Amino acid sequence: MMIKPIHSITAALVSLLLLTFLIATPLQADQNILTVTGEVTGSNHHFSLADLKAMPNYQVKTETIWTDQEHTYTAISVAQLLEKLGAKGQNLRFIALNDYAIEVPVDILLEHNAFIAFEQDGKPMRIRDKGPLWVLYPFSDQPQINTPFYQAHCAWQLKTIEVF
Amino acid sequence: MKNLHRYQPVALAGTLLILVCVIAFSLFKLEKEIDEFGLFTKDERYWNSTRVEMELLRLINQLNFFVITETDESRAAIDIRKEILWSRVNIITQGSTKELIEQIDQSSLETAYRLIGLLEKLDRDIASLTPNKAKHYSAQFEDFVALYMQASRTVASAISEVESTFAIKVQHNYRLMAMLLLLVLMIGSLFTWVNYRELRRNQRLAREAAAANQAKSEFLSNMSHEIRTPLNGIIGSLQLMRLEQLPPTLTPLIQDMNACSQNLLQLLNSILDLSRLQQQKLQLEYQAFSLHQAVEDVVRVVNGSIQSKKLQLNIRKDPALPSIIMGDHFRLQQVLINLLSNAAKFTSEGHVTLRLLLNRQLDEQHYEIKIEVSDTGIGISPEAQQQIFSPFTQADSSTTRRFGGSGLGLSLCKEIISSMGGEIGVRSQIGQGSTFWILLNVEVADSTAVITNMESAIPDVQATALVSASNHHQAKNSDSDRPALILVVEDNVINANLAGAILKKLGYQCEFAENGQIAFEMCQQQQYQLILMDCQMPVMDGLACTFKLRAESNLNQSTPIVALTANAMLEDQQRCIEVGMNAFIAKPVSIQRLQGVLEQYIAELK
Repeated sequence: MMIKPIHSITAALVSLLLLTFLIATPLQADQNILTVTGEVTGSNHHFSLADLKAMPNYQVKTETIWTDQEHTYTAISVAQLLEKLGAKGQNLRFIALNDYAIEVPVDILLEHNAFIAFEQDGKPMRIRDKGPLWVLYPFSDQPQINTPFYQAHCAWQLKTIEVF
Repeated sequence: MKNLHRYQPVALAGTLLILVCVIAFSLFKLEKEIDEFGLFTKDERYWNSTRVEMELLRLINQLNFFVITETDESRAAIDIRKEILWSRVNIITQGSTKELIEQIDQSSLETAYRLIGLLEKLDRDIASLTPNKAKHYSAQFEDFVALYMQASRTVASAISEVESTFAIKVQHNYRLMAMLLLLVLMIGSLFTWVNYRELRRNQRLAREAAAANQAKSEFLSNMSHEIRTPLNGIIGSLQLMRLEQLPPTLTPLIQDMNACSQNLLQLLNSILDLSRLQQQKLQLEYQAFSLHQAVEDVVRVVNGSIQSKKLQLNIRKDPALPSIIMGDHFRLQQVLINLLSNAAKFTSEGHVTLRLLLNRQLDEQHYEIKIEVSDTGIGISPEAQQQIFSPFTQADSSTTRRFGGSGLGLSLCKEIISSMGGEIGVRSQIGQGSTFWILLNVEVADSTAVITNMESAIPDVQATALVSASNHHQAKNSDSDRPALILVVEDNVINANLAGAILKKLGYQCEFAENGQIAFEMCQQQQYQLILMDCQMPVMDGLACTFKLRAESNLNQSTPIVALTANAMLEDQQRCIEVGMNAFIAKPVSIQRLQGVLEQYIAELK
C-alpha cells in the first residue's frame, strides 16, 4: 500500500517537473528555433530566440489577412539575416513546423522588405498564434502586394530556411 | 413609303445602338460573374477544412501513441501537434477567412469554436494527461474529424458545382456575344449599304438638278439671244423712224415703243448675264481703268432719273482712293447703275448718296474699297433683306406692283460682285431708307495702262436723242464725190435692210452678202471702204470669212472689218480681234456708235 502514495508522489513530481518543462519550453531563450542550411558560409546555422534578439532588430506595424487587427511585430530583416550568413543562393525555401514549404526568390523578398517576426506586440508568439517565427511583408506599407502570390510567401511556424 | 425610306437609316442606327447596349450589358454581366467566381476561388474554406482535418488526425495519432507509450517525449509531441492544430483552427476564426465564413457558413465557425474549447481543455490537462484521458480526448477529436470531412466534401462539391455552372454561363455568354456581334456586323453592313444607296441617289439627284439647272440656264440664254435678234430689228427700225419727219401725233408713240424696247433689251441682257454668271461662263475683264471716270459715267446715266424725281444726288469720294485700278469697269458700272437706279426708284423725296471709301490698305498694291449707295426711300424690312439678292425677288409683291421691275437687278449685282471676289449687302429700316454696300479688293494700276477704247457699259439711254440727219449728211464724203462703199454681211434680211437704211441715212453706199462665203467672193471683185460683218451666219460665219480675207490674197485684205454681233461677251470680242477684225459693235446697233466707228475707220483710210 506504500507503493501507491509513492507512485502518486512520484507521478505528481514528474508531472510538476514536466509541466515546468513544458511551460518553460517556448520561453527558453537558448533553444534552437531556426535552422538555416544550403549555400551559406560554413555549415548549418542554428538560431535561438536569444540569437535573433541579439541581431539588429526592428519593429513593423502591419495588418495581415490572417489577423483581426494591426499588430506590431519585432523582427529581423531577411536581408540582414542573409548578409550575416553570406548566403549566395537565389532562392529560399521556408519550411514550417506543420511541414508547409514554399520557395521564394531572394530578390522578391529583398525588394519588398520581407522580415522574420519573433514577437507580436512585444510578446513571443506561441505556435497557435503562428509562432515562434513568422515570415511577413510589411503589407500595410505596400497594399499593392497584399495578394495571394505574396501572401503564400508568409510561412508561419518557420523552423528551417534552405538557401539554394 | 417615302417616310419609311427616310426613317430607314434612323431605324438601323437605333437598332445598332440597342445592340451595342445589349453587348455592353452582357459584358458587364459577364465581368460581374467572373468577379463573383473570383471571390469564390478566394474562399479557402476547402483548404482550411482539409488542413484542420489533417492536423486533427495527426493529433489523434499522437494521442493514441501516448496511450500505448506514455513518455515525456510523446507528451511534448502531443503539445506540438495541439499547438499546430490550434493555429490551423485560428486561421478559420480570425482575419479574412472568418469574415467570409461569418457571411456564408456560420455553423462551421461554431464548430471551430467548439474545437478551440476542446483544445483549451487539453491545454490545461496536458501536464496531467494519462493514457485513459488521452483515449477520451482521442475519441472527442474523432468526432471533429467526421465534421471536417463532411465540411470539406460539402465545400468541394459546392465549388465544383459553381465551377461547372460558371463554365456553362461563360460559354453561354460568349455564344450570345458572338451572335450579337454577328448581328451588329450584319446591321452595320445593311446600314452601310442603305447609306451608300442613299448617297448614290443623292448624287444622282444632284446631277439631275445640276443638269436641269444647266438646261434652264441654257434655255434662258438661248431664248434671250433669239429674242434679241428680232428686238434689234425693232429698235433699229424705231431709230430709223426717228430720223424721218413724222406727224407730231406719232412721236410720243414712237418714244414709248423705243422705251419699251430698251427695257425689254435690258431685261434680256440681265437674264443673259445672270445665266452666264450662274453657269460661270461670264469672263470678267481685268484691265486698268479710272475709278473716277467710271463713277462720272455712271452718274451721267442715272442723273436723268434722279433729276426727274427732284432728288438730290450726293457723291462723296475719299481723296485717298487710288485713281486707276484694275478690274472690269463695265461690270462695276453695271452694278452701280443698278444700285443708283434702284435708289432713285424707291425714293420719292430726299437724296441719293454715292460714297466711295478707302476701307483699308492690304498691301502696297492692294486696297479694300467700300462703295455705298444710300437713299431716303421706303426702306426694306429685315425679312425682305434676306431674299432681295435672290433672282426674281422684290421686297414684296405689292412693291412689284407699285414699282415694277423684274427683280433681277440685285441678284445680278450680287453675282457680279461675288465673281469679283467682293461682298455686297444692305442695311435698312422700313421708312428710314436703305444703304447698299459693296466691299471690294482692288489692285492699283499704273495710270498709263488705262485702256480707253473699250465699249462703255453705259446703255444707250439717250438713244432717242439721235443725231440729226443733216449732221450725218454733212459728214459724209467731204473729201470725195463718190460715197464710201460698205459691204454688209448679214444673214437676217431685216437686220440687213436696217443696216442698209442706217448707212444710207448716214450717207454711205452699201452692198449686201448673205453669208461669209458670198462675202468672200464679192470681196475678190470689189474693193470696199469698210465691211460690217455679222458673226453668226450659215455656210461660212463672220470669223471664218474674216480669217480667210486676211489670210488669202484679195482686194479687201486690209479693209477695216467691223464685227456686228449679238454676242456681246468679252471672249467674243477677243475672238473677233484675233481673226483680224478691227472693231466690234454689239447689237442692237446704235446709230451713234456705228457712225462713230465708220467715221473713225473711213477717215483713217483717207
